[in-house]
Amino acid sequence: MRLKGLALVATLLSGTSALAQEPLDIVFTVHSGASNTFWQAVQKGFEDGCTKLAANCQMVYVQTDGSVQEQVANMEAAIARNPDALLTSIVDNNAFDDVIKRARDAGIIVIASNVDDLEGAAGNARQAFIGQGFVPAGYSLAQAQWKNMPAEGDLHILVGVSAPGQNWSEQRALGVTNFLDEQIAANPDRKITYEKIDSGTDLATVGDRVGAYLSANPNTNAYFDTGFWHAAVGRVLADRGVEPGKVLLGGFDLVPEVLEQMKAGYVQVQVDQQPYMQGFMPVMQVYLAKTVGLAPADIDTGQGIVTPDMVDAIMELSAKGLR
Amino acid sequence: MTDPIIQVKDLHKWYSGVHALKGVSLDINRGEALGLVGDNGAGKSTLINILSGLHRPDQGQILMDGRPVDIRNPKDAMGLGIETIYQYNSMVPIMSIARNLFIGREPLKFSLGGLGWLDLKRMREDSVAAIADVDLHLRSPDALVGELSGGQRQGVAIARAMHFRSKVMILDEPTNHLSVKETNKVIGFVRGLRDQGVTAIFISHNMHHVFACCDRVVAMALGQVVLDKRIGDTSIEEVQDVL
Amino acid sequence: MRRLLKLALQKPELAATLLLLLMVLFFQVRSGGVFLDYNNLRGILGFLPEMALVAIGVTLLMIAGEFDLSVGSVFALSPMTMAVLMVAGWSFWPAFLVALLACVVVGLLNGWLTIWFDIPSFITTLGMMFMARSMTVVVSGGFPPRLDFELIPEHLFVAYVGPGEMFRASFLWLVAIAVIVGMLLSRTNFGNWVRATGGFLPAAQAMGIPTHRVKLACFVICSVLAGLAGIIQVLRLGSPLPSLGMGYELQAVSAAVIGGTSLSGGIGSIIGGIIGATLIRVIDNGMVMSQIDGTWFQFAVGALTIFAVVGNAWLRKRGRAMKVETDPK
Repeated sequence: MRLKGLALVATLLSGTSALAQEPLDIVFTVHSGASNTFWQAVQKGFEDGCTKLAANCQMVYVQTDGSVQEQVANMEAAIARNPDALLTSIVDNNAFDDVIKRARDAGIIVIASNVDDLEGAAGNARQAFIGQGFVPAGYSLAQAQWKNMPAEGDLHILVGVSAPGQNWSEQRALGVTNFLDEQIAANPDRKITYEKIDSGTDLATVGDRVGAYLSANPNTNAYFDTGFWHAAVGRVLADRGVEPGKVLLGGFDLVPEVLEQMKAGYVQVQVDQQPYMQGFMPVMQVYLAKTVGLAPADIDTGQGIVTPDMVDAIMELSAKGLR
Repeated sequence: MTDPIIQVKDLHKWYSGVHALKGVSLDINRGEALGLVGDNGAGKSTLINILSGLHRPDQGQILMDGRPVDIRNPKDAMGLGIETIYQYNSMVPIMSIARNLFIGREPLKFSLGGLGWLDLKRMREDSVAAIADVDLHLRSPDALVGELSGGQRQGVAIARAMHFRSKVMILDEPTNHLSVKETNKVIGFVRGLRDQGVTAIFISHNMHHVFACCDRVVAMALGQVVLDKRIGDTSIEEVQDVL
Repeated sequence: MRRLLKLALQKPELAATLLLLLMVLFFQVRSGGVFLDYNNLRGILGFLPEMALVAIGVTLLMIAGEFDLSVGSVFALSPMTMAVLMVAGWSFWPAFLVALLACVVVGLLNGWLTIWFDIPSFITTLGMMFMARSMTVVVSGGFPPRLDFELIPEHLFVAYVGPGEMFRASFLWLVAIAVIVGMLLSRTNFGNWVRATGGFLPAAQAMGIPTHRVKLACFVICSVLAGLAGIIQVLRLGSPLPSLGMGYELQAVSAAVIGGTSLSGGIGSIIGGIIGATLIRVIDNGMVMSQIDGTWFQFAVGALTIFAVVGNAWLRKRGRAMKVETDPK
């Protein structure tokens, strides 16, 4: 027994997967198309993790952004190969239950990443979730931005739901509006209002739509986007000669455009869900599960709020695809 | 009198395995109106398509004015003076008469490498003149061909062929879908071609029309010529018996 | 006068313009007069050239009887190519030219595959749509390159020009290209060939028109215009993302059809396509101002688009049915 234990530890310390005779086979299915920049960081984390373990890894995107059916089909194809593990985002509460159960029955490790079933661990058979809680993230974003809003007087806020009906967008918006609702209740003497619009997932379209809204509602104090497309709004404000900070902007995910706008002062807060971690950590957990039998555990990759003073350091890492 | 403008020697053509033309030889004499008859599948369309440049023969030779020619495409055919009035494919209905008249051979004000600026004025003027020449009176050269009756469309096609000084005019079933009045016009027109020194090949399955305006009749069946006689030397019944 | 009205109603562009004016009026009223305010108009006019250039290319190709669904992907591939080259050290103009050359290649591929193998262009370009989008991600190496705007002659493409700084330079590009392509279509023999090829291919071929070359040329023009539009958008908004232009192919076809282009070829106009594109942008923009609930937004945009096409067809029918004496000749 002691010898076996020593052997295990030795293997772990040497950092190779010598115990596993063949390389680990891991598939990662996602609900997004390959052209979404955010996922490039996840993929880098995933691939870096796999390289460290000399594992056999494949990331599978869908053709139609957000298509649940396509993702389920991809998962079916993936488990047909009988990999060691299936990593996946879970953007629907029911559609994946069956395929995940079958994967678990076949002995495949299943870990959820990036988006989780709304019912959490009770929703399906996935063993852990590594990612960001969207509702808490939205809440934190609004909370952070609240500090920048005028302390007195009426407030009007616009919330842009990038993809109405899609889990990730709706939940982030919900988090934001939850916080706003609390503020409305806590400040009965002030007129605080907010509105939600379908803002879109195309930079030019979002810029145009929010621009139109701002023209119609010049008293708008802040705009929240459920993605990174508020970067275009920064451009629009600059074009109109509006000074940075007059209309507060905040959103999700660190992409270079947003960082630029933060430097310029148009974007004040941004939520980072540390996508690199969402790709890297699940791989490590698979390794630990396979070699030492450790049960995968949930990891909250963070509601890291990014502010302008952190931008330079992040930009370097962003260029390397790490953040 | 037998001065062949076109000679076809031993023409063979296969279409997806079918031997459509089996060694067809024919002389077409200058200034005569030749009637080409036969059932569907006899090979008359194939022969015509080869002369028009739409298809190329697999074997055989074509001579024009005594010289062997290679008709590779419709442009070559038109260059040799062979104009075809197709049964269905002559005109683009959504374009105007003027544009259809000059389609593919537009008069250009200036050009570079085959592309150039349309001389719209000339197109319009020449269209009016060309249409009047065939005794057709239409509203305006800007009217869309799609708005014209079948007979009027034929008229425009004929006007086009005349305008470009065809030496040989091939008319593919020109009297189909025409009214009695329009049919007579076409028959009279074909007769008149002789006076203008134009050779005509008139394809039809209507024997009466053929006998009304042609000098000679050639009947085809199953890819071969089965009868070749002057109109005066034969009768409708004889031709129908052969087919 | 009546005759003029009859002629006017039958021209698809004019019917589309009428609808455009109607929409503008509608939104101006619904938004309480804000729709036409300076900043909003400027915004619309900034985005419009990018959409309209794509629409011009698609219109021309549709008149020739073919479709190009890959324009949205080329819209992204072109600026990405340019950006990657610039990051590698190339200066603007050579990078710009190579980016457009990439579009030429895509256009030639689209055309060659469609013509040579006799498959519907709908399918060829659908496949190309995926391939080009993927190429964009591959070319970017996964991460959108940062453009150094010091090295780019912005004034030539996106800077504000003209009185009141209402229009961007891209608008001038739009006007110039619209005029050139429009003239090409209506005043050159090539234009005649395009209409004939799309209007009735057998007749065009029977009359000796090089229809294959005509179609190929249209495919190339379509891709190049889409690529140019993409570059302009990136110069305006700053980042060459691989997700640019998604969905633009459908908007461009809609714009063409609203402007009177027939789905079966031969009929259409460049001006119509531009007006169609303007109408789509106006609807999208105006809907935001009209306080339509976020979840109903897509529905409203779709419904208005259908209304625009139906309205267009109805106006033309009314024009045809108008009783006017024809001159006896």
